[in-house]
Amino acid sequence: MAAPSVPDVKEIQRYRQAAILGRVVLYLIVAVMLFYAISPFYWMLNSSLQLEKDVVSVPPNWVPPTLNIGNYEEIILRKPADTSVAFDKSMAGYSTFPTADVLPSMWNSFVVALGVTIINVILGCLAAYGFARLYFKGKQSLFYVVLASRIVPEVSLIVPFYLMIRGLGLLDTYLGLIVAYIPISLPLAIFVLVAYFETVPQEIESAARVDGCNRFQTLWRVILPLSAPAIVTAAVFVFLTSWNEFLFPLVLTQTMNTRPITVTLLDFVSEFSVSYARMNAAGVACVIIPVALALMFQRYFVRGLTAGAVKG
Amino acid sequence: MANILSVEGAEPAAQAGLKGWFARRMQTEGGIAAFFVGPALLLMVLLNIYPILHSFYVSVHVYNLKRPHRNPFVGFENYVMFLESEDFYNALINTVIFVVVSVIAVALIGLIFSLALNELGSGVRKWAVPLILVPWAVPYVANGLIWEWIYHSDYGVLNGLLVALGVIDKYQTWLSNPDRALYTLVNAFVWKEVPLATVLFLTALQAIPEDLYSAAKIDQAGAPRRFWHITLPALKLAFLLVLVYTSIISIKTFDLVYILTEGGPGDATALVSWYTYVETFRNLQFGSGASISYVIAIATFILAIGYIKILYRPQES
Repeated sequence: MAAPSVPDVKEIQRYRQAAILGRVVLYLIVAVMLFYAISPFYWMLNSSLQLEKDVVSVPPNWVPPTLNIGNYEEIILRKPADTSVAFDKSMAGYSTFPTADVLPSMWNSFVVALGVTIINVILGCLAAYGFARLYFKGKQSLFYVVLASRIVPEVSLIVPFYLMIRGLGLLDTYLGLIVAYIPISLPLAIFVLVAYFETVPQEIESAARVDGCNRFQTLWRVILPLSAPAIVTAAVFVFLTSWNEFLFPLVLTQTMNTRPITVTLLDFVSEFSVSYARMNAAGVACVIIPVALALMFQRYFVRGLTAGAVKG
Repeated sequence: MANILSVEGAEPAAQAGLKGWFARRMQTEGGIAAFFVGPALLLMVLLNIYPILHSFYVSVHVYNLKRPHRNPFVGFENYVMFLESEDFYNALINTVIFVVVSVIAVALIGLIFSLALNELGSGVRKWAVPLILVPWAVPYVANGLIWEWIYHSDYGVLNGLLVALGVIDKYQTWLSNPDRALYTLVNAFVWKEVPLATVLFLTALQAIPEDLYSAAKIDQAGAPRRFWHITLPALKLAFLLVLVYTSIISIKTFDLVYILTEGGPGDATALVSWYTYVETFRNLQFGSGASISYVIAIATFILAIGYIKILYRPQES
């Protein structure tokens, strides 16, 4: 056990250099991280704001040479494409470029996602309270079953679902999609909420119960107001999961009446009639709401997840 | 219905009939629990357990849409058939590679990012975290579109960037190159899943009391030992969450394959979910498609039970 020696000037200098170097490395990692996360979005946005002839230039244009919002006008107002550039007009299918309905399908996505969010947050809060606070037989295994049912690949559910939704006469309806989406995100909502409810001190609840609140009032007046981050997290989770759903609507929708933006996006990626500029504009339309939501609510989101990631 | 709103045990319910039964149920904690948990559970059973069981029924019959009225019971013939098929093994191997590489990459990159963010001040975190979270929010379809355009062999920016940096001389193929396609898929997947992992790790890191590190420093524990004995154990649960979530999501990966490669070139990126989809919706063999998905589901289920067992181990103090 040697006593720590008094550090001399050189040693201090070395420490300081190491600290600065460490700092530089950290900032470098963060810079790489931000580039990794954001640059693909930048590229999509950049391409969506260029003329078709600029989009397909080699080497690529790092910024739009001429700013062009025409692509957005075309996909939203369903204008026919400007076929004079970049492609031979005789190319199969090009003159009838699919002018898919971007705005109506965004609306469809929104309505369905909102419906699922409302239902799942209400059901999720109730169920999570039961799992977090009440004792009943088989609770643990039921919780596992609910969680585990999220694990089944959607591909394996699609055929029974198709038959079921068709049997109920709900093909190509909002309700059909909502019904199909509910089980996809409900377990996750319950999971997030249970983890958070468990962090609310039992004493607060006991006090409310002594004051004459029944279980439902306790949930409504005590637990829920304290659980805003988890509720917002669950809601955003459910909304995004529903907005992002692809396979179910691909099979369960038939017309523009209900087709969500994720499926409509396919029309812009089809092989024979691609306008890359418009494809990217449609991509922006598909991501703008999820991105806005994530940015708006991320603060809640991080706090809402904390309970799940830290407890234990 | 007023009984739900009364305090249980406050007064004995004397009514007879359905109302009385309901009132008595509401006296017990189990009865109240049924009120809270029941609706969600009922929906999960109807909308999840029932389709799963129905899918099993379909899997032991021949369901060919081209011959819709002849659905003979064939027992496990469908299972035997695909288990003997080479296409399935190819898909299985692709999926194992995809899942293992993806999960390791997501956990590792997420860990590095979160450690860097944790070391830097909250000022940096405040604006960096929302930005890195963005890829997580977008649909896989859009994710696929974004990367398809980046990878494009004639006009893609990946080629443009690599040529500009002098890494390559001429434009390369990415998605249509059998040796690279699976890894381009992995990259698109990892890009979307890293943010959540980063946030999960970060929240766990932030919960570690600073005193622990100070105490370790006083004990002259070096940075590697502090990391090994304090940081890593604190991340255990976050690790498990990331591993479980990423494994499950990666096994299910379908949208990305649909948009980016359709299983190609050849069968280089045919994952099991894609294989199931092709068998079901392209070959219209519902029975055989259902049998494959049943096996995937059971395999994933066993994996998940294993994970959950670890996740929910009784708390030790």
